[in-house]
Amino acid sequence: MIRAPLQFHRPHSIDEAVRLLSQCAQDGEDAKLLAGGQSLLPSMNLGLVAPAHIISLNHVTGLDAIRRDDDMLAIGAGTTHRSLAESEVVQTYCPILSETAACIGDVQVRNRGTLGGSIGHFDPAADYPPVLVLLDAAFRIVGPNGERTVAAKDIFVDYMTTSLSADEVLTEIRVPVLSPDTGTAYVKFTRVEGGFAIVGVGACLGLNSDGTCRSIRVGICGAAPVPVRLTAIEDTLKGKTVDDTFIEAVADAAYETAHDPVAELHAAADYKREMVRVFTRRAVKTASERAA
Amino acid sequence: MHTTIQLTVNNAPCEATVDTRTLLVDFLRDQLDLTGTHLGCATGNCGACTVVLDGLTVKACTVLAADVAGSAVTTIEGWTQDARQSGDLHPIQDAFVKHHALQCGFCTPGMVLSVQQLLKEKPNPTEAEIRHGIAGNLCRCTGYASIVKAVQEIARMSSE
Amino acid sequence: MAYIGSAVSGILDAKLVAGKGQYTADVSLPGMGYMAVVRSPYAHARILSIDTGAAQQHPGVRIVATGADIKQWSRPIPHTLNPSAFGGKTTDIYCLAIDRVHYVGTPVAAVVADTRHAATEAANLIEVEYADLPVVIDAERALEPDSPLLYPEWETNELMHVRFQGGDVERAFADADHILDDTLHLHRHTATPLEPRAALAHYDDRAERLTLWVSTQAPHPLRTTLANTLEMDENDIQVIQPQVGGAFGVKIPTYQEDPLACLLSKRTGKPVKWVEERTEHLMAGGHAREQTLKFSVACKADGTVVGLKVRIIGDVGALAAVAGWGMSYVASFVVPGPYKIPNCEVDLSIVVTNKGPWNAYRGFGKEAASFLMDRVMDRVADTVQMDRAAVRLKNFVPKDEFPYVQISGATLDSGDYAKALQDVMDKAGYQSFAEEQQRLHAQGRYIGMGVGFELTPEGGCIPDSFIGGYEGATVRVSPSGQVTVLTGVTSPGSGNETGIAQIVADALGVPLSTVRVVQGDTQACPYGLGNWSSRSLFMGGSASLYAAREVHHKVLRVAASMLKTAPEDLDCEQGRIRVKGQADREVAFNDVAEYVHKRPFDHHAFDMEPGLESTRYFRMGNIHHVPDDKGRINTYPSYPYAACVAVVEVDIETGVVTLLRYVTVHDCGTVINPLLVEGQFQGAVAQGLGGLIYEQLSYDDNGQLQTGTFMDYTLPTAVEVPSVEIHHQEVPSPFTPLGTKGAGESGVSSPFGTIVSAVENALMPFGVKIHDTPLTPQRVWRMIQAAKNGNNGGAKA
Repeated sequence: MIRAPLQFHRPHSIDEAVRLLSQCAQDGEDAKLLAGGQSLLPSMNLGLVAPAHIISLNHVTGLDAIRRDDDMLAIGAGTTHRSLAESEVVQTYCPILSETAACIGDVQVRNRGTLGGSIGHFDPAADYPPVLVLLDAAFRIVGPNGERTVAAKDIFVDYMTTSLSADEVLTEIRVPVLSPDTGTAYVKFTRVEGGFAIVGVGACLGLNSDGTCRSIRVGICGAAPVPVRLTAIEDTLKGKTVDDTFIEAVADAAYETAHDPVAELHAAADYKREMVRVFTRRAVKTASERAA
Repeated sequence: MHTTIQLTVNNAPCEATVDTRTLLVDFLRDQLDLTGTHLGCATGNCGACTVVLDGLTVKACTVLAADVAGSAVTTIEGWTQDARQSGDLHPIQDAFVKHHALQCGFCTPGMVLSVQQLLKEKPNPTEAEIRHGIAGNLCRCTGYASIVKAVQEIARMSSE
Repeated sequence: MAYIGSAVSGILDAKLVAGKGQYTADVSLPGMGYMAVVRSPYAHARILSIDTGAAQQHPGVRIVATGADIKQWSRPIPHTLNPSAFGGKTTDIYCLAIDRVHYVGTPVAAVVADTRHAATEAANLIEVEYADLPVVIDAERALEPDSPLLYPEWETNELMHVRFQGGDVERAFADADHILDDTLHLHRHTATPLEPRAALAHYDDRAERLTLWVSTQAPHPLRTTLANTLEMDENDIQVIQPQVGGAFGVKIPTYQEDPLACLLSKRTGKPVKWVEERTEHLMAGGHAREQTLKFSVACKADGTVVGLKVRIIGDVGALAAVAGWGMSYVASFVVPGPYKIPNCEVDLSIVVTNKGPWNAYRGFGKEAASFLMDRVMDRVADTVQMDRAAVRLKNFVPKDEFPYVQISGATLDSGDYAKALQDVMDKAGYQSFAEEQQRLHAQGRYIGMGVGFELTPEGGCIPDSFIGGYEGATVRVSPSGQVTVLTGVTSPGSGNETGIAQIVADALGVPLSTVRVVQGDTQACPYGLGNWSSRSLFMGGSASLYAAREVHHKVLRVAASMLKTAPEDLDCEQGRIRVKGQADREVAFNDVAEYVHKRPFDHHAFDMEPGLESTRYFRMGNIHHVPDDKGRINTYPSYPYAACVAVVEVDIETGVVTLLRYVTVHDCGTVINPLLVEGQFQGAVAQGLGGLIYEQLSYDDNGQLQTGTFMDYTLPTAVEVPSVEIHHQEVPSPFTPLGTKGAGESGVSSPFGTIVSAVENALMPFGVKIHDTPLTPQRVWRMIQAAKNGNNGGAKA
């Protein structure tokens, strides 16, 4: 049950939502955007957050469109996990995003929860951020002064903090169309089915015709308060033969990078760091099998 | 603070004034007396509050009543009414009864609605698909075996 | 015997599957208010002051109450089991804390308001000033002389000390070939049924009567308790148990909120509803399990266990009026379980700490005894290098030695333990498993098989308490031949209403569909003690059988007169009463019923008492409350058991344990309904598995609960729980009319020992030894790492 009274707003356009956000900001009143609400509502029920205003984006039309735009996919922020998982366009051109969406929570959560909502909430255990970071996704954000685009590396700032300001709305996420021979995988480690990721690792691997690495990108959640990308090793591994040594090198790099994992009750920092290694190994291995 | 919403509940138009804090589950239970939808955790984990919102199952403890204006909500009561083919219950419910796929019955309405969603999408699910399909519905009594059995039987019957 | 033994569907299922079950939270009354409870955020503190001014002024508020008010308005809640009756300490428990809080979640104040929102808003306005006190959350630390004390007047945190002893233990140890010591630790977890606790109290000012709808397991004892606490006549109280959404022990009364809601209804003159939130439930809705089990075992080289010393430290949290602490007592009572170890001693300390109070949870301490004895047997097997099952077979109580009295006085009723274990080994392919294991090991997979055995004493009967070994039932036949069974036992979803209907339908020879079972209403039902300890069917069913037989006797007498034959020449099936061997000479059961009611002065019914109704009570014949020559009493009448085999896979990179198979041979005596028994057993295994691997109530050093929601208190889903392969071995109880034993609780205990044994087996290449639960991936992974580094003693995680 939600304890604190709240004002509920049902804007029908992004501009209206931005106006409402700005108004609340000016008045010094705490406002939250509501999309699927799969993280927000539990937090409100527990009294962890108690916004004075709820601005629902569920009555803004067109926020859940998925379209191909040249070499990018443009995905509306209101797209549900379910739609992402089932979208043929996404399955074809950016399968890692479908795979990620399909393993979030459970059926009901995927039916209601949205891509934009997950990014806005930015739980350190969330599955999308590491994948969006590795994909170099771009985020279209609308605020009182118009629209801006933010790169993935700049949006996830700190523990549960994004670079969206209080009067901005995330409207669209753009990810690159992956070449069809790219092998991708997202694997996660949870306590029970549908639980939060202790560690989640996404990997995209492109191979040259001789089987060597054309490109590799790895994104990890659980390694740090924000998603981690293995940028350094991604360059040095280009042209290397993809074999067990290669995979181990990526896993080791992941381990080295994961020096600051958020410790949990059933996953201390050292254990989590080891799991980063294990699941990176598994993600890259699966991606390499799918690339072949 | 209150707001007035218009929506469809169990195929009937409904207009109501709700406290803006009211969860969909509490709205259904307290204001519409549809007590077949249960509240078990309020964190979106247990699934006892599962209802069908615009054709898809959701957990009604993670939805604000104010936010479903314009939507169609189906609860176990309405679904049972709609779903009857012959007799008093839907074949899914008959299979639940036959296999005693429930004990205390608290998770059951939500479980049944998740099963109908699963079978709508995958009429012939594997055991793993069944288990994943109901993973959003916790059952503390049955250990799930009888539920899996019931779903398997429905799938078998529909494929015959 | 048309129904007994057959897989009849639950008679409530059709209603429940359509969402038509009415649970306590579904009941509403005009004008009702909602109660919110203010709970302590501190684990240990003195209450300096409570300012309720702002809450009193909040719109919609009807009443605000604090401990000071409660102390004026009511008496302490009688303990369900008073520790002082066992030579232990005790303290008064009021509906709200008086002066001091002992755990996070202690109720300190309450508000009733017109709406739930108003009640919680007002609750947030109550300002409680605390002076925090030092916290102790570890039981062994709590026993140290300089530990903070929860109840200073005790001058100790030891609630109770118990010792059971038999034989000559020292001599057995002196003569042994091997002596092994180990320490096990079971972690805190809980039943957490999906329906939270709930109550709707209605004090009717004009009638001066109180009605309480409540999610409880024991309406009659609760009524007695309420009368005492509220200083009312029992006659003026009616307790109604609507449909209950799971209980598993944790809804055995009396919690503080139940009398509290009643009291506030009485004070306001209007109904008061309270529905527990999940966070409240996990804090204050009854915990269980946390015990340290130390053992020293003496054995011969051939695997015979000759002596056993056990030290149990039960960490029962703070004291409440519920009976949870008794689980630690029962853990010690059950040792050494199904094994014949005459030289045995058990030393028990039940200790209070600044954590949530225990309440009953399926297993009731037997899971600790089961885990302990499984570990003892595995250790012995490893030491003498024998097969783990073979050691158990060597030490079981032989089947021709029943009734067998254990050192505590536990008098095992009947069984064939060895056959159950041998059968389950056959079913599970125990002998050929090693081959499969090696084949998969060559592929880098770690599969293991474990054996375990649980003895589950049922129907507990404690002197001078409402935990009793008797039950009552009424069977009533209406003029139209419809049968009503009113029972003192209740069903929180366990299905006994169906089993009882089957028994009564068979006894009367009527269709099951004509039998209605009414439970959980103190105004309607005979006095009975409710549902716990798997007692409902074997005690309540036996009482129902006696009552049905008495009614049947009258029906046959009238029918015999009508058919001009003797009662013993009649058969009654499906509502037709026939002369044996003569299909054309029959009369309908319904016609006889109508005759008895309408024509009591006509000759077929003239010479008997009118009416077709009987109330009978059944008492277990093998409870002994008079101490024997060794001072022992037997508090359990029924000893079902299960032999189990588990197959697990361990992911050695992550420590994840996956249960692949669970096979059991289970004896609960005569099986009335395999569908119900198997459903119960499967559900019990799921809870045992959940408890062993996934669920934990974890506290930090300040006594703050770290797993207070279902996000952190992770219950297993359908993905984690495999379907159990259940086989029955029916050794009828000699002490019940149908041979039934307790069913329902069994299955929850064996996963601890069986799965742990399987994990050790899977990790044999590393020589890992498991002592502590839960088996979280991290813990298992650490044990593997430690073993790789040459320490196979098991790391603490």
